[in-house]
Parts: sequence; C-alpha cells; structure tokens
Amino acid sequence: MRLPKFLDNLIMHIIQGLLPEVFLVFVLMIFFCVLLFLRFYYKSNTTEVQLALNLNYSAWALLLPLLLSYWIFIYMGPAVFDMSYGIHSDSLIYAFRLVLTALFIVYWAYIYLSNSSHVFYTFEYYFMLVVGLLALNLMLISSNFLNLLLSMELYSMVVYYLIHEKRTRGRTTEAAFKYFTVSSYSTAFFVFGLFFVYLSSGATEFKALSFLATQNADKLMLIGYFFIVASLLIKVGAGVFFFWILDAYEGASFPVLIFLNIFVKPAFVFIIFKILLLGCGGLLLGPVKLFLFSTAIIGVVGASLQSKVKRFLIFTSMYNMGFLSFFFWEPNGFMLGGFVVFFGVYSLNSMCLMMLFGLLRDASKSDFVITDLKDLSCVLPQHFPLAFGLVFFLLSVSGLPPFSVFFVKYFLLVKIFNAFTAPYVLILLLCSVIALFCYIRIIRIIFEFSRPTFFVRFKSGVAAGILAFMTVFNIVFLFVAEDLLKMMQLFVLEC
Amino acid sequence: MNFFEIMEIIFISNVALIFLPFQKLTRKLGSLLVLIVLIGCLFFVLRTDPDSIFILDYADKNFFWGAFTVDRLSAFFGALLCFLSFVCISLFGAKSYNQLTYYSVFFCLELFLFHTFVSVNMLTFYVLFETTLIPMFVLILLWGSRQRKLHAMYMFFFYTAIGSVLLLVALFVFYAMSGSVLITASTHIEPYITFFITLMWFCFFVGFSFKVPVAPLHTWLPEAHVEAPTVGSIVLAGLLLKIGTFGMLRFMFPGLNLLNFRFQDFVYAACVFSLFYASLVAIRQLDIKKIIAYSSVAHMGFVVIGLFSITFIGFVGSYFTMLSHGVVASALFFLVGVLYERYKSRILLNYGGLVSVMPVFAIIFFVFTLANIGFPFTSNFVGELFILIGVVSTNLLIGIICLFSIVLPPVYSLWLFNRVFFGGLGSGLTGFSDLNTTEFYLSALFISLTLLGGIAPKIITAYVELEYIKLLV
Repeated sequence: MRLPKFLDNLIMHIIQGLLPEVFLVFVLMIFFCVLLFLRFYYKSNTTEVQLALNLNYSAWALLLPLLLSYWIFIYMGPAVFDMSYGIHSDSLIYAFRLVLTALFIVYWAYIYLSNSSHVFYTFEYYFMLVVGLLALNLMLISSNFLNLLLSMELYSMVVYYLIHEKRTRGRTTEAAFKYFTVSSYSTAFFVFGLFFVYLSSGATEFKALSFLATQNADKLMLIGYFFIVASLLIKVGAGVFFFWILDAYEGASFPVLIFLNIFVKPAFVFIIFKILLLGCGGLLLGPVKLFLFSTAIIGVVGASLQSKVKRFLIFTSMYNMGFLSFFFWEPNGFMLGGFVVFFGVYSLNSMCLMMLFGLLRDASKSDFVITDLKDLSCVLPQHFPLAFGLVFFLLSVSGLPPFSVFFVKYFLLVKIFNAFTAPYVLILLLCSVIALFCYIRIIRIIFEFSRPTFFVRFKSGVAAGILAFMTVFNIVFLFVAEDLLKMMQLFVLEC
Repeated sequence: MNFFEIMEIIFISNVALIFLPFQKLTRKLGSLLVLIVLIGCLFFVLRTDPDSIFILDYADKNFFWGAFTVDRLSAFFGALLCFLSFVCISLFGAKSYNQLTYYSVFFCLELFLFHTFVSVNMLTFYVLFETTLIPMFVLILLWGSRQRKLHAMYMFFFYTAIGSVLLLVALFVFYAMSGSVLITASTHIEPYITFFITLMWFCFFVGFSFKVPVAPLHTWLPEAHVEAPTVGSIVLAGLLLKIGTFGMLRFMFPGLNLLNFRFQDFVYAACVFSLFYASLVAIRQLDIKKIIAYSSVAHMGFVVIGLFSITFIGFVGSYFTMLSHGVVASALFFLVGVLYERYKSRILLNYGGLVSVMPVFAIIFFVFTLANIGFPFTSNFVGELFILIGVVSTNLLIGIICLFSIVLPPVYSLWLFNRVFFGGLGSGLTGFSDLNTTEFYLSALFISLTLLGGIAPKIITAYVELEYIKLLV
C-alpha cells in the first residue's frame, strides 16, 4: 500500500535533516521533564540511593531509544542526512558507540552514588551527565562550524558543572575554575578562527568550506583554520596543551573522569579529523597528525613519572589518544572500521580498570582513600578478586598479548607500517614498552604486601562479575577479532 | 581429525580437569593425559612418511589466528613438554599448595607451550610466546620463595617485553614484505639485502636472544630461577628457554640465510662472549640455583653457535642439545628442589658431607653433574660434539675458542658437587632423609633419558636430518 503523497513528503522531509535535531531536542526535553517529576515525586519519601536508582532507570530509558534510533539511521542509509547536523555514516557509527557505552557510565554513576557518603546533587548529576553525552553527540554529527560551536559550549558548561560537582572541596573548585578559564580561551580561539574563515569564504558549512579550501585557500582561511584546530586541541589537552587537564581532571569524581578520559578525548580526536578532512579539505592535516603523535609520547613519559592514581590514568589516556589518532593517518574505510573496534575494546577495558580504581574506598565511608599508587599495596591482602581484577585490566590496557587491546593495536601498526611511517611506528612501539613498564610498576606495587592502612569496603561479587565478563570478552575476542574487524570495515565501506 | 586436533583436544581436556571435584583424580588423569600425548608424539615421529615430513595443518586464516602444524621438529618438543609436565604433575602430590590454583596455572602453561611449539604463524607464535609469561608470572608470584620474587618477576616481564617488541617490529617488516605472517611466506621476501630485511634479521636475533638468553641480555634468568618454585624452574629451563632457540630455528632459517651468513661472525662473537661470561660468573656463585642458571646461559649460547654455523652437523647438534639440555637442566633443578624441600636453603656454604646421609641422591646428582659438563655417554656430550664439529668446519678460530670453553663447566659443576656432598656435614642441616619413592622414580626417568641420548643419539638425529634437508630446500 502506497502512502498518500503529503505523508510521503512529510516523511522524506523529516528524514532529510529535520529529524536529528528535533529528535535530540525532544528527548532532552522529555528527559528533563521525567527527571523533574522523579525529583519531586521521590524526594519526599525515598532515600538518596533510591532516587539515584530511579534516575538511573530514567537515564537508561532516554539512552536506549536514542541508541535504537541511531541504529535505524545507520541502516536506513545515513548519507541522506546532510543538513546542519549532517549525519555521516562514520560520525553516526561513532555516536552509536558513544551512546552504547554511555549506558555503562550511567549505570556506573549509580554504583558510585549508592556507595558514597558524600552529599551529591543526584538530580543534577544525572541530568548533566546525560546532557553532556548528548552535547557530545551533537558535536559529532555537526556539519557546520556554528552548530559545532554551540554544541561545544553546551558540552563545556556541562563539564564545568560535573567537575565542580563536589562543591565543598577546594581542589574541586580549583579544578573547575581552571577548566572554565581554559575552556573560555579555547572558545575565544574558535570564534576568532571562525571569524577569519567566514571573512575569507562567507560560509560556515563543512562541505562548502572544504570545496573552497581545496580550490582557493587564502592566508585568512588558513589562519582561521589554525585557530579553530588550536582551540580544539587546547580543549582536549593534546600535545603541549596538556598542562591544564591534570589539575582539572584530578579534581573530578571517578565517573566524570571516565567520561572525560575515555569518551571525550577520542570523540575530540574524531571531531578534529572530521573537520580537517571534511571541513578543511586536508589543510593542516600534517602538523595536527604530528601534534597528536606527540601526545602519545608526552602521555607515556608523564605516566612513567606519576605517583598519583588519577594523574596516572590521565596520562595513560593521553597516550592512548595519541595511539588512536594513528587510525586517521591513512583515512579510509579499513582504518575507520579499525578505529571503531579499537575504541570499543579500549574503552571497555579502560572503563573496567577505572571502575575498579573508583570502587576502592574505606570502611568509614569518608571518601576515596586511594590517591597514591603506593596505597595499592594493601589491596591484595584484603581483597583478592579486586587485586586480581586490577592486575588483569592493567595487563590488558597495557596491550600485552593475548588481551584484546593488543590485537587492535597490532592491526593498526601492521597496516600503517611502511617505509614512510616506519620511524613513527618504531617510536610508538618504544612508547608501548615504556607504558608496559608503567603498568608493571603498578602490578609490582599491588603485590608488595603492606600493612593495611584502610579497609576495602567492596562487594566481591562486583569485582568478580566485571572480571568474569571481561575474561569471556577477551577470550571471545581472541577468536573473532579478525572477523569483527573485517565486518566493521566492510560495514564502514558500504556506508 | 588430524594429529594436531587430537593433541589440542587432549590438552584442552587437561585444562578442563581443574573443574573435577577430586584433586587426586585431577592429578592422576592429568598424568595419564600427558603420557598419552607423549606416546602420541613419539608415534607420530616414527610413523610419519619421510616423503611428507612437513605436514601442515593450516587454518584458513593467515592474519590473526590459526596455522598450527605438528612436524618432527615440534613433535620432539611436544614429547619433551609432556615428559616434563608428567614430572611436574607428579611433584604436585608432595606439595601443600592450593592445588586447584596450581593445576589451573600449570595446565594453562602447558596448553600455551604446546601451541607455541606447533605454531607456524608468526603472529600466533608471538602471541603464545607472550602468553606463556602470564602463568609463569603467577607461578613466581604466588609460589616464589622469597620477597625478592617481585624483583625477579619484574625483571622477567620487562626483559621479555623488550624482546617481544623487537619481535613485533620483525613481524611488521615480514608482513610488509611478504603480505602474510605464515612462515611459508618467507619465500616472497626479496632475495637481496635491504635496510628493512637487515632490520628484521636484527630484531629477530636480539628479540629471541632475550629469551634464549644470550649475555648481556640474560640478567632476568638467574633471578627468575632463584625465586621460582621447583616446577617453575623445571619449566623455565626445560621449555621456556627453548622457545628462543626454537623461534630462531623456525623463523630465521632458511628465509634469512643470506643475512645469517653475513652476520655469522657477529653471532659467534656474541655467543662466545655469553658462553665464557656465564661460565665464569657461575664459578663465583653461592646460590646453587644460580650456578645451574648460569650454566644454562652457557649451554644455550652453545646451541645458538651451532645453529648459526649453518652446517648440517651443527644444526643437528643444536637441536639435540636443546632437547638434551631440557632434560639435564630440568633434572638438576628438580634435584635442587629436593634439597630445598628438606633443608630450606640453596646457599652452597650451608651444605657439606651429604654423601654420607643421602647416598642415592648423591649418586644421582653426580650423574647429572657429569651430564651437565658433557661427559661421554651422556646426551649433552653428543650435542656439544656435533656443534663443535660444525663450528670448526666454518670458523677454526671460533671452534678452538669453543673447545677451550668446555673446560669451564667441569670447574663449576664439580666444585658444586664437591661442596655439597663432601667434607664435613653442614652445621645447620637436620632431619636427613634420602629420596622418597616418587623422587627416586622421577630421577630414574631423567637418568634413563640422558643415557639413552648419550648412547643412542640416532633415535633423534635420524629424524631431524630429514627436517634439515627440507629447511635447506
């Protein structure tokens, strides 16, 4: 049966660009209403933990339809969406992955909140977490610099709140202030750059700009792009701009740290390369590649010098971000497929590692007590599954075979290894050895039994569950890695 | 179902045994299964048709996973693995460890090692080679004897990791040049020397040298041996060191023969240094395990010299010494474990006069001391003789230096024996007892293999010859 013509037109209109924005705004509004309702309904007669659980359900209820809709878009032929938020296949796949993993973050936030004695603003916490994820998604699917700027500002505000969520702590306030200051500078750079680009070309859409950049790129446009890319690099703390993220991220709680370290950084790498490839017609690609490559070196050197848990995690995530950027050195369907798989595997392993770090807290329910790496030495005598889990994930994230991260790294390096990239690959391998050294150093600390200075109040079941899940995942991945990569590459190529 | 699949099923069933509720049954069934594989390996070697000696059981994938084969080169190592596994499982019964954890770690190690030896896919070999680190890491950490085990584990992991990164570079170059990671693709590599091929050769050699180990890359080995439990030392000396030389054998011959010839003198120099250095250091050690560990470094240096002589007899000698050293060094570590179980010390100065209270043990230790120095009618003698003939035929000077080097093992081995078994009884030693039944029978097994190799080496060499011809082709 054929639909009436006006309905047909309406559907086509929705599909051709209206739906993504409308959908996102709608889900945001619905989510806000649901949260508001829950806040007032449950606040009077439930505990904070129950409220957290209920909010957790509602966050899932929001994210699952979003996930489903992305899935549908991917199969419907996403190339048709090319309006202000151009849903290209690559960004859509990335956004899909992001929402999928966001579900874990939201669940993890519940564990975090329910185990903490700290007074949290539960409602705002969930709201901001989910809005942050949506802002990140909007950034990913932007195909216009103005949209990108607006989404980025939304994201910045959310992150400012999330970092500053423990308002009574001085360190947190300092972290939030630093973030706010640097973020403002970054935005100023972006606007400044966009001004030059608009002055030179009269356009803000990626497609038009890409065409103009390849045809006739003048100095103004080049300066504009320079500032835009610099602002994004500052925002993500790449290369020499890492100076601010240490303090800013250290002040954040563990779920926020996971959010910033594992999801935001790769997303920004993706956005930077999207702008460079789709928006700038390949201008500045070489310097940015080298800049991100230097991030891997800075990350691994920094990690080897750290004695604080959070700083160590921040530096290692920088190293992995540098590694991740290598997938864009030869941007084609194969590499993008590899990027999606790498991001999935890395984020899953890192998230589990950070979750275990985050779950270390003392019996008195005061706060996290594991701040120094040397404190880990009293974990093993008290909690074997937790210590074993930490060792497992440390080895896994370090990229040691036969763990899953090794295979994706191997895939990347073997594919880009040729006469021109050989020096970079060799340096990256050297970085891998240093990274392995850092991780083994922590394992060594874990096995150095020392008298407990605190008590781990932590259910064995959670650590054992995470460990069992990841063991099965790693074993299965061992046998399906090749097929999975091929499948993902074919999928990206088809899209 | 081919031979490899049968072996694989048996090894996986071995791992599954840890879920049995009765630990005694686990031990007995485990022993039985490894004996079946041992017999299977020997049967495979004897019955294989000489015209199709290189039987490949490739999986259909060549990039990530798969491609295992059981040929005669790997079958003998399979047999050695099974024999040493049988010894280790038999030793479990006497220990008071948490046996479930112990079995699970050991059976996993056994599974990984078997697959390492039968792998003809470089990536698979590399992954399994690295994977064997993890059970060894657990063995040393959980059942190591002293607090210094952490340092030992750290060194073990770190050195091997550096070696493995070099292997990874070699793997990248191999893939870039041949488009595959199967060793059969080595024929696609350009037949002339380029920078990348030289880099690949260097990475292969140094990467495997970490594992062999060749001095000065050896410092992890004595530490690991000293801190590992007896079972760990047996596996380390008997099998894990052999992965290095076996890897050289598999991946550097014959594909890189051009460079093997070119760098022959470099390899000789490195190995001769290793041989002398390790022997001289062994002389001044006080820890019994360290003496044996350094003697292993010296012997493995000899094996590498034999391989890189690129002669028929040198090759056969190397292969034979690998197997022989696997038996002799493991036996010595087993015997040191016996001493440590009784007197809780490995320091030479604490011992003396044991011949009067442990006569059977003294005789057995003496047999292995002779085997370690390469005495005629022991298996080490045959291997070393073949290697020396091979080396002399290619480089007389190195041959003469190597001949001088064989003076050193008797110095430290006989000194060790003299200190432990003669003289006055050690003052701190109490509760003397000679070997128990299990230990005696296990020692008898070790002795029979050592003597068999010394008296009738043709049993092995006859089959290795064919492989060598194939490699040259």
